[in-house]
Amino acid sequence: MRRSDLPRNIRKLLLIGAAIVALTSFSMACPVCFGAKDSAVSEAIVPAIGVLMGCTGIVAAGIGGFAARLAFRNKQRKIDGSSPLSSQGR
Amino acid sequence: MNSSIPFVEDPRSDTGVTNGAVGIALFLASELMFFGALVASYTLLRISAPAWAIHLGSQTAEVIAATLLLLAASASISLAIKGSSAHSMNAWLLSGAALLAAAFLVVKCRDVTMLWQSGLVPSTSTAAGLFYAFTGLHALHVAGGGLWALFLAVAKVSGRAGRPPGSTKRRGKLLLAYWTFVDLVWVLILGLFYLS
Repeated sequence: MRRSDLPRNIRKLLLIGAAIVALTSFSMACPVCFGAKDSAVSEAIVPAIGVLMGCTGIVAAGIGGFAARLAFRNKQRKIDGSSPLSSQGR
Repeated sequence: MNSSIPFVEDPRSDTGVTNGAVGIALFLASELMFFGALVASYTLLRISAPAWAIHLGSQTAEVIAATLLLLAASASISLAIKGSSAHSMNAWLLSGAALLAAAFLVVKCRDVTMLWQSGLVPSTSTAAGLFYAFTGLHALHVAGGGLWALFLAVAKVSGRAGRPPGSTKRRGKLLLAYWTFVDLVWVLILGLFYLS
């Protein structure tokens, strides 16, 4: 494939992506600890992220549970012979 | 032309939920993320702090009183829902919950005033700043819950004609869900600041 075959925007994106991969240490630098290993802050940030991930997990589980409930109710309605989920819900 | 919004009172027959139930679920999810961010900040600051000292003094009586008031408000809302008929919910119990919420706020204000006068202000330390942030935001939520209970009691959601059976109870359950969340946040505050 010739270089000119790629759309200009895609080329730009590829270039930016390559730069990010090449400069990982800069792009991933944490503004809290600036890469300082074994510092109190870098040790503390792990459980803090864990707390946030836990909260996100609870919310995601709730959304998943609701989706599962809808799927179950839809299945039940099909079995019962009533119309499945409709725009009016009636 | 019927301009009423559907599924406000009666649940959608296919999903089985009302607009209010979806709304409160989304609201509580956002609240969880909000307080989660605060707890994450607390975790980061506490673990990385060279020293973590917050002297809340001998406030055992105030803390126990505040906890009991919150629990009593929950119980009052639960009883109002339990004793509700198809079209009415006990306005006295809902008003009682609002009063208990107000009493909680009075206890907390007294508590915070004493701490402030003793020299513990948000700028004293990171721990003090977080304490005021947590308790202040929780107090705002308690105030909101109290106003909601008062609204349900005063508006007499109950007696309004034209509401389908069960809608009153459903409104009460939304309030109870919110109040349970407020209780859980208080338990979190107890654990993070008073018991640890």
